[in-house]
Amino acid sequence: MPSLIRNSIRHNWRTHLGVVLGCALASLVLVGALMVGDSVKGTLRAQAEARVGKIGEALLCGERFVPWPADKAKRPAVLARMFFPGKDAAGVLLMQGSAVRSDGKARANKVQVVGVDGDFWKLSPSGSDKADGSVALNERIAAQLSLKVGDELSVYVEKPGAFSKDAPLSGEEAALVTVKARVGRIVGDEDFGRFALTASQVPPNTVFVPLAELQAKVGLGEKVNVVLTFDDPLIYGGGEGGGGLDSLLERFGFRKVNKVSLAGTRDIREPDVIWSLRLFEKFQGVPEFKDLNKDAALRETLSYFEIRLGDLTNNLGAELRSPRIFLDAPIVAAARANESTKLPESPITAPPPGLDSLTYFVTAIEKGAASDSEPRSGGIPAAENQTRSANQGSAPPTGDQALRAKDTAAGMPPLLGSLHSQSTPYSMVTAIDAPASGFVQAELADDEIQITRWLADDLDAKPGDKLTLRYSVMGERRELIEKTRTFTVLAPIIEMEEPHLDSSWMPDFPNVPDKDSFSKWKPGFPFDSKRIRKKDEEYWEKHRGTPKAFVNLKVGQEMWGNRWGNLTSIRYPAGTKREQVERIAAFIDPKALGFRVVNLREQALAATDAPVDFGQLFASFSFFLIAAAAVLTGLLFTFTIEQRAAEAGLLLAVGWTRKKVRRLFLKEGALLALIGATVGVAGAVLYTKAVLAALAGAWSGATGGTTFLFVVNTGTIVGGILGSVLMALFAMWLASRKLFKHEASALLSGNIAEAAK
Amino acid sequence: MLAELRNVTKSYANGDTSVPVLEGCDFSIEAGETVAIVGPSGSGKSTLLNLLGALDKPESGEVIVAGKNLASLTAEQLAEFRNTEVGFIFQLHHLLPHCSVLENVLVPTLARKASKAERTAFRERAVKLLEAVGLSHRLDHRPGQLSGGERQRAAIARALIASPKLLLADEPTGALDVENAARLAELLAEINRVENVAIVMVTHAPELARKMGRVLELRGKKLVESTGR
Repeated sequence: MPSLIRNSIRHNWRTHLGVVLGCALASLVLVGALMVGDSVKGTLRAQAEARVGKIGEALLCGERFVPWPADKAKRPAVLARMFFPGKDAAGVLLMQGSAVRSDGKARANKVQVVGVDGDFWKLSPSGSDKADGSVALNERIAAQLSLKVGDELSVYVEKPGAFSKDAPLSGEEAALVTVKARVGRIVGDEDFGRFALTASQVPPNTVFVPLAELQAKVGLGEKVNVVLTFDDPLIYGGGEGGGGLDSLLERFGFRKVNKVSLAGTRDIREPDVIWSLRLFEKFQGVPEFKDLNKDAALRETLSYFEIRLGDLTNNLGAELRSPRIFLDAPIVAAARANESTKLPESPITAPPPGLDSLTYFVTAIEKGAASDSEPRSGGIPAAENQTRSANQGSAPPTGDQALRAKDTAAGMPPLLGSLHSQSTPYSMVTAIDAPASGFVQAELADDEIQITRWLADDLDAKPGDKLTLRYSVMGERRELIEKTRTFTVLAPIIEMEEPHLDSSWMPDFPNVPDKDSFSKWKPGFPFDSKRIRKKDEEYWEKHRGTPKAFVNLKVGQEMWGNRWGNLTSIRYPAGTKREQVERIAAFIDPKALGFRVVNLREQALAATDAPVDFGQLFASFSFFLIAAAAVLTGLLFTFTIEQRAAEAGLLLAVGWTRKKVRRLFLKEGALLALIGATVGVAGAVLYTKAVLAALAGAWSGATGGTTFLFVVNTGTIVGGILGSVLMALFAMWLASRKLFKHEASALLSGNIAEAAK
Repeated sequence: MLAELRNVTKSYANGDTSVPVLEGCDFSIEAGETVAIVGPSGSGKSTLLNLLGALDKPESGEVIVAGKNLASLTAEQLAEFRNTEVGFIFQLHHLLPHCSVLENVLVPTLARKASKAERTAFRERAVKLLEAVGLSHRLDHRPGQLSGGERQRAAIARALIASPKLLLADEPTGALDVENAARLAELLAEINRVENVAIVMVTHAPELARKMGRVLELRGKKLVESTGR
């Protein structure tokens, strides 16, 4: 039979030409569309590969920074609690900034400023360590600023603080630091010119600064906010499932637990990796971890979470606080879990319940009710008033200014220097769990305040008097809102000799001035240093930030709680061991604090698959063309076999079954389709190149000026040919069905139409 | 009895009307017998032949060949019947133009599943048959390279490849000149003698008809003994 088909094709090639061309057209369009898809996908993949290079997983620290000493031996092994960076990991300081040519003629904003060392360059697509201590630019910013090697530029980055600039009391506007540099290298895609943590069609403007230089400039010390690892399938178990770390931990005998029920407490989420204490115990047998100092490791972990442990004066116990001023909610939750959970594998017991407090900086403490000094605004709780002002630009009148204006209008001398005041400026007030405190009156009601002797003397206040707290909170878009709340003084007055009364209540505010210069403080909102009296300076010198008044914790949290937290410290009573408090590390979920471990490579490659398969998209666009070509193929095929109806009749007459005759013709058609589809592939290559040229040219606006790679995928070609052949074959089968219903005699006579009647 | 038509009726549609061609037609032929069927054009001669060869079906009546009632056979069995029991010779040879003479002769054997040895045997028989019809020098030629007489002889060889018991020839000399027609008639007579194959031949040529053992005429939609013999 093969020779029958071969001979027939050779003999009937003229009539078959139409079928071949029809199928070639279908194949051209289908394979072409799929090739365009492959090329777009291949281009995106190449871009993704260029973006992440040899990076596998990455630890992203959110707003926080982790220690990353240049000396690899000193690098924190404890980082394994959240992440397993390996020996070849690269620590990166990733910041946002701007860059300006030294002549000021060109400027680029939204510049990705990356502090890198040699380990980073080893992760680049080319993998070559090109760290030469110079500043490198990627091609995009070099082109934008018209900079070449040897030119000079200035890079500006915001000096990072311990906490968000949007948080209240976060200090003055962040200072910009400038890195002046000479361009040492301009890096292309092969050398991480496209490096970015997030996918984008266009690479970010990137300036690579030597890590140590950037760390020094921004004053962070040896810290980074991103740690990148090699994509090592041997260590991380390949790219499948993203469970690299999990599988690694499983090798060490850890089981991933998503949720654990803690006896006697609410359910808390177990840290998504493992409890550090258990980890350290397990790792004792692992060579890399056997020398790990558990206590040091714990403290180190706490430093990542920016938790500080301090011993209180007068042997009053230990305190948990944060350089971020407010304790994040996940840390408070972890403290609660620490206080109520036994760790069976740990000899360290749970600490006793901690004393919660929230110390806030108030603009003024005024004698009298708020209604005495200011009109009330509508819709505000009875005891609380508010006025708004912008944190930027010209400052509106502060409470002090208003008070001075009021005093002046009443014919009174200015407050400064008077024996008793109507208002004490700039003070700390602590909201405290009064019954648990041991020194604040347990029955302190929501509308009551207990004051210190110093304040009582300053305002000539006594139990039963009304006092108003004037304070600022941060609204949306860094808008400052000034509020007031009136309280009644509760007896007794707290004497200054009270052992609990010290400056440790004051959180670690930034820019806190030295002992003798209270008036130089820049707390981050309008601060009128002229209101600072001599006695205030003396208080500052003697008592620093010792609170002058105490209110109920609930009320304090209502007034000053915010999205960064509603506690500034948790205190543990005398006798509490430090390690009992440090045990909190075992309960902190790094993810809740913004730490994330992501498989950058998997993410990048996954992004090239989603959401649109360009091959299918283009094939869909070309659907009608493909369908038309298939119909044409079917009709032309039917035409050719109608011409050969007698041949079919003869075969039936000599004993071939209908099925066999039809199969013979369809096999011939399939061979023709295959020839046509193969011819079509050559056309598809030209079609693809034309479409890619259009995407990079006429349609470049839609593609962000991307240069597309021409990617040929054998699977696509084979699939496209197969698809075209099957489609043509289906069309042929459909179109030839009727013909083979005729009797052999009718086919032999060639009078199919008549026989059909 | 090798083949038999019993009270067969067949008609063709012509527009909305049905034109009867055969009505209550009876026919029989013994093994090795030769029969010529004559009659005017359109009288139903070819139809009768198609019915005997299972290329068409009667509206009523029975067609029995080699003891098989054709109406009771499935499509596959009918195909096998055509392949093994009967051989066809058409007025137009219907040789496949893209195949050689030898390949054309072998076409009916391609309908069967056969071993390599059987295929070799078919090929040997095809060569012998072509030698017998005087085409041994034309084995690899295409039909287009043969004369009209040669093509028809090749068609005879094809009809005989499966050693059928009944040869159905539909005006086999219709497209040949007198000389070639006479030669073909002699060839058929010889085949009948050598292969002992029964022949039913439809023809307009009296000389050819006279070479058959019996001559029947289709008259009034029925077969009757020819009076012109």
